[in-house]
Amino acid sequence: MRKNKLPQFFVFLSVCTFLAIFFFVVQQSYNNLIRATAEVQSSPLIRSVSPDLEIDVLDEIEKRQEIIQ
Amino acid sequence: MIFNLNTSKISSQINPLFVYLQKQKENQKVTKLVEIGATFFLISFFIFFAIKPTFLTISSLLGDIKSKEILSKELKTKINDVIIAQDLFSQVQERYYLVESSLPTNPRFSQATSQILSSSQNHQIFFNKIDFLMEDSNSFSTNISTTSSYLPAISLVSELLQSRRLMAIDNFTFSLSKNIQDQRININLPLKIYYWQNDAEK
Repeated sequence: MRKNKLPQFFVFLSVCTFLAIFFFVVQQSYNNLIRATAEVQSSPLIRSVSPDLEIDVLDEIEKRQEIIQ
Repeated sequence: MIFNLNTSKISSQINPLFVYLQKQKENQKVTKLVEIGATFFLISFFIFFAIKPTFLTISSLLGDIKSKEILSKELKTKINDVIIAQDLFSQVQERYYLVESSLPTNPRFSQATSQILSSSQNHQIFFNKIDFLMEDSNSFSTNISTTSSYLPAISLVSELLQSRRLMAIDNFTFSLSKNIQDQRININLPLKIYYWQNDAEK
């Protein structure tokens, strides 16, 4: 008697579909979670500002002579 | 002989029953497999059309919250740094004219001219004219071509490099004049003079 393989193939196909959709949703969700943070971290808004002024430069400039007629 | 006949008769009667049972068992197995497959398909359908939009919305909202937290934290740090910088700047504000005289916010040709002329006259070097050529948005250039003795020429270069107004001398040329007994040299001194144009002014 010839054994019908269609049901096994049906189960295999459904499991593959389930796994594909599951991983697609997980990947999309992870991508959404990470994208916003990555965009913010590369934003010029959060470029740090150094509050240290190089005051020594002023002394150096003061030492130089300004010759004016 | 009678026993054998009875056995074959019973066997021929029971055999279709076994075949029927076998078929029933296979049908049950197929039904179960179809049920399992259909269940997985239904779950996939449910995940795709119901869970996926919800999860994507939740994850993007969580991502937004996290990014806003990072942004808020970084901006607080930046604001504090700006406040500290403002305090420091207010302490040295009265000396800001030094920066302005060294690297002015506009070309200030007159200052540059007076600096160059004063330095050259201090060393007895004279020239007829001085031309300025705008190079880019942060500098302009000029060229001093005249004749002088060697030592004053060297002193002039040194003084210009030490002057308060920022100038750069990438190269200069001293060449002997045709009249060697004159002991004078030809000077060619290209100068690059800097200024700092504010972004707002641009």
